[in-house]
Amino acid sequence: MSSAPAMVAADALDMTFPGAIHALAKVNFTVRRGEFVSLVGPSGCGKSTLLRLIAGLASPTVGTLSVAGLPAAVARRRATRLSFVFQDATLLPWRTAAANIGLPLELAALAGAEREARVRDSLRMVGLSDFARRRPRELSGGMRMRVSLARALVTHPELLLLDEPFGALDDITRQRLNEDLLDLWLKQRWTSVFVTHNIAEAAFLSTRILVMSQRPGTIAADIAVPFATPRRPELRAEADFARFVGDVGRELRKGRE
Amino acid sequence: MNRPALGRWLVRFAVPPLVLLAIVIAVWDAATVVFSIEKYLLPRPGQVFLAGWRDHARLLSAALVTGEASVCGFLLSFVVGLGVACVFSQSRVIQRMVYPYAIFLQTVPIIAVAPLIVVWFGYGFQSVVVVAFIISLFPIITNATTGLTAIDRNLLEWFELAGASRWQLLWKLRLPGSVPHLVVGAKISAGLAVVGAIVGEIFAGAAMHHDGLGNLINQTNANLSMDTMFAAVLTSTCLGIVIFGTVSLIGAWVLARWQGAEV
Repeated sequence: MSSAPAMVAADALDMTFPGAIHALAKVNFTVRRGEFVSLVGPSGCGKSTLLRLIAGLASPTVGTLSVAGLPAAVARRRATRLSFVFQDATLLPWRTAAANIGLPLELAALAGAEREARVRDSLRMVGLSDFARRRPRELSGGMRMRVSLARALVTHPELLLLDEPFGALDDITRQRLNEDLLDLWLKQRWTSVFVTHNIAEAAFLSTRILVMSQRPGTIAADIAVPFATPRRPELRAEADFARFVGDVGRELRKGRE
Repeated sequence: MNRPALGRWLVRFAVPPLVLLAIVIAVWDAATVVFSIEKYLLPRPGQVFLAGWRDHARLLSAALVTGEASVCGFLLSFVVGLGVACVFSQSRVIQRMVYPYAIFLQTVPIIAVAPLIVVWFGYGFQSVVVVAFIISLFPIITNATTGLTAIDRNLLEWFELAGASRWQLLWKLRLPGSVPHLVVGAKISAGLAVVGAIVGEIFAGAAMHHDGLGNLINQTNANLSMDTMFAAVLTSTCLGIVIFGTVSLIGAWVLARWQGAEV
């Protein structure tokens, strides 16, 4: 995997917001194609800001950030298929689940039959085939998040950015969605950058974890996750897993000092 | 709504205002008798009712004329107001440039500009519609602008990430997202359009071929037939309620479809 070409490369990123809030300082990291990388860190450490930089929604004050070899803002507009999943499902309340999922294709002017087939596939992938015609308000929080995920996957993204997507869900739903997300990733092998403050979630999902320090955020540790994929849900109950989560937690605390 | 629920609804929402109405009519009637008020100053409720009965054909046709002008004025302000709001949503600069004059529209005393409207549009239907339009325009502009611009930040960013064009953003996010605000604006505006039409008829409606409620109020006021005038005022109120109610019902239907609620 380490020989795969870089999907995201950050070089000496520095980000200062108006009002002299120093959000990121000298951030260096690389995410290779096909990796599932989690960013964990204390709240306010700039991990969401980092994700927005990768998405090209903001520009760094200093330093360069390239996505698929192009500056992030350019990459988004060209060639690179990038999807973003927010903490809220951010669905359109007046559209059905299917119409919400089809929206990115509609915006890209993809014709009817192909679009329908892709929407149907995406619905099936997230296990919502029977809920295609429901509106967001008729769905549970977990189901809404699934719709949001399906909408992100319908474009067959090369790079999927997830900003604490399961943070607002209860633990059981979160674990189910983690397992489903991991399965989908194993099948489709897009590149993921996943922001969370939940270490166990990061350990279960990722191939690599980047631990961030408190503001101004830097990469305090770069930890490879030692568990082979596919991963069974029971992994979470194993001693190795608990020890690993403990190790990452220690790095996180170190970064706070 | 099933039968017992309808009954309960009637008791809760229809009976209290009817009770108050009965009290007001009783006090009104008693006052005219006790203070022996002349008919040309304040007719008795019964006389108003009789006048309404006697002139019902005239009242109804006047209500239809005024209703037509109100609906035209309302539809015009809905379309124009939404158009203006769409332009506002595209450019902050234009919004800042134009908005003060939109407020001017709301604060200008309509009676003061009525002569000008008559000069431009002549006495009759057109001027009445213009007055109804001016009076009902502002709530549509403000509510539609709010609806088009107060879009969830994440949704805006999602559309940006999805590479949506300005036009797609307006057509697929801003416009459908503004529906609840549009419904609110339309309800306020519909009521005002009726007021505008009647005011318009009083100040700019005098024409051979235009015979609305405002004209009727003018005429009956001139020859002191207060009973018919009161009946005309009450008919105006009813017209306002009917138009407001119709727009509210359409709004509720649109909202229910918009949210996908099981009605």
